[in-house]
Amino acid sequence: MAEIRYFTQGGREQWGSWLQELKSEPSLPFPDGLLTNPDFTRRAHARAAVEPHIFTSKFEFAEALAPSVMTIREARLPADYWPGLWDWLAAFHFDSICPAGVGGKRKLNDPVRYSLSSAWNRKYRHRVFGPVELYSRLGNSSRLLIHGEPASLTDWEEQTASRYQISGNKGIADALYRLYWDHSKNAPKRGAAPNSKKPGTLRRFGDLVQQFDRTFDLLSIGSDSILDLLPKEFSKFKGA
Amino acid sequence: MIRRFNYTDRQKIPRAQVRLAWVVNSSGPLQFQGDVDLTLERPLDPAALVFVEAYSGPVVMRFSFGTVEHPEHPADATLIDFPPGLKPLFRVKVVEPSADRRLLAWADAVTPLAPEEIESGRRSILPVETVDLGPLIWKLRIESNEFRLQLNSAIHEPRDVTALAREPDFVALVYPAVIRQILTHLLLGPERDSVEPDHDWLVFAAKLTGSPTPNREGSATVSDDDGSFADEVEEWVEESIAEFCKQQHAVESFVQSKKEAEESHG
Repeated sequence: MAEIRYFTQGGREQWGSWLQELKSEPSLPFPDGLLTNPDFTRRAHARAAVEPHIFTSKFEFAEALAPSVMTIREARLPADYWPGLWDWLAAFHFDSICPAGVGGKRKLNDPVRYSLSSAWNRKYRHRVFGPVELYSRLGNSSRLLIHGEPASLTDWEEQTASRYQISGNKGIADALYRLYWDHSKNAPKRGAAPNSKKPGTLRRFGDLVQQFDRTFDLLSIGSDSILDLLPKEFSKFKGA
Repeated sequence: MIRRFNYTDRQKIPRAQVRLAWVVNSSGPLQFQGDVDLTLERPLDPAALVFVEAYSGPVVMRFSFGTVEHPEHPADATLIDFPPGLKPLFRVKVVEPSADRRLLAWADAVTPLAPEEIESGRRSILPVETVDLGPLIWKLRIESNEFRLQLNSAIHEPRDVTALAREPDFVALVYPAVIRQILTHLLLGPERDSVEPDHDWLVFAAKLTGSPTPNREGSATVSDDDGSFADEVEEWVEESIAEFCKQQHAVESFVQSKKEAEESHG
């Protein structure tokens, strides 16, 4: 077990510089000592620890990290330190969220996946912050939204995490899960999230929820009522 | 000015009728207190439920304030879900008591008053928060058409950043940019159709310029609408900024502050 730490501003800069270098040199080794260097990191909380492990499921990754993050939240770590905490966790779990491939080369994606953006509409793309926050708020109902590998950012996350009516509401997330999760395949139902607003699919669901939010108190309505509100176009997924 | 459709029949609770205030508590988590005057044009169902929600992004803390007929302040209004240093916004919802849970009335993006605002009787329309901004000194946080001026919490020298932000050079250099960003966002931004015509910032700018907020539908040339409306907005925004600087004596104050700084350096 390793104690959870957070990057100071200097630590975040070091982390950002290394990511920059990694882009042009994909087999660059992980910077020695960065995770524990007292010049760049601080202990987040005495009782918060994390285990080195390579995760292959984003849901399990979020499920494993959420209790430690909760311990730190309950210890009232100031808002200023949280970006450094998320980035430190991204660095600690880098092999899960940006695994090395053949010849030790890593395929780096958009930097906001590893270094927390302060923009609300990009923040959730961070590969630790996004899944852990969704799991912490929605519990098992987040399974649909954070399925897949820890490195991936699916359209399910893109379409839901940026819409607060969905990502902050357990009833809606539960309705989504009941509507679109295929238990037999342990995956989303086929054809549920195309790139267009096809009737009954995810993007249509998102639009409708925004409309419902102006008429109903969605926080207290519950998933049964949300499913009842959906028009006929959703019946193919309700019954499937 | 802005095209608005309300098919839902819910009523808007005027901002002035939502009276929330921060409770100063230096040791523990942030708290708030307050009340809501629910006297509206159409009387509300006395049994309707009243909720006050604190929110920041997807994080929501809901507090029950009783019913329309029997208002009740929650015993504990501690904002435990928000980390120290983050001040959430608030909304009020009045909800039908039946299983339908229709919204009967609401107010959104309410900022509680700080003790100094209560003391002075003036409400700030640009709340300030200090956060880690990395290499930036300031930044405008935009959320649901509401704005926060963020200042870099790492700046403590020669004074705390919130003190520096009240100094004339900061006001003269930063506020024009802030005003431009806010007004442009409200009038031309992606959420422009959901901006209330009595938004604090539009009222503020209209007072500065002495002219009403540009109206897309009333734009001189509706046919080639977007371009000419954008021009009209730009002109109005520039005028607002110029008036703001004039009222603040920005140039004189800026020059004076630089002179004083030079003198103090010998």
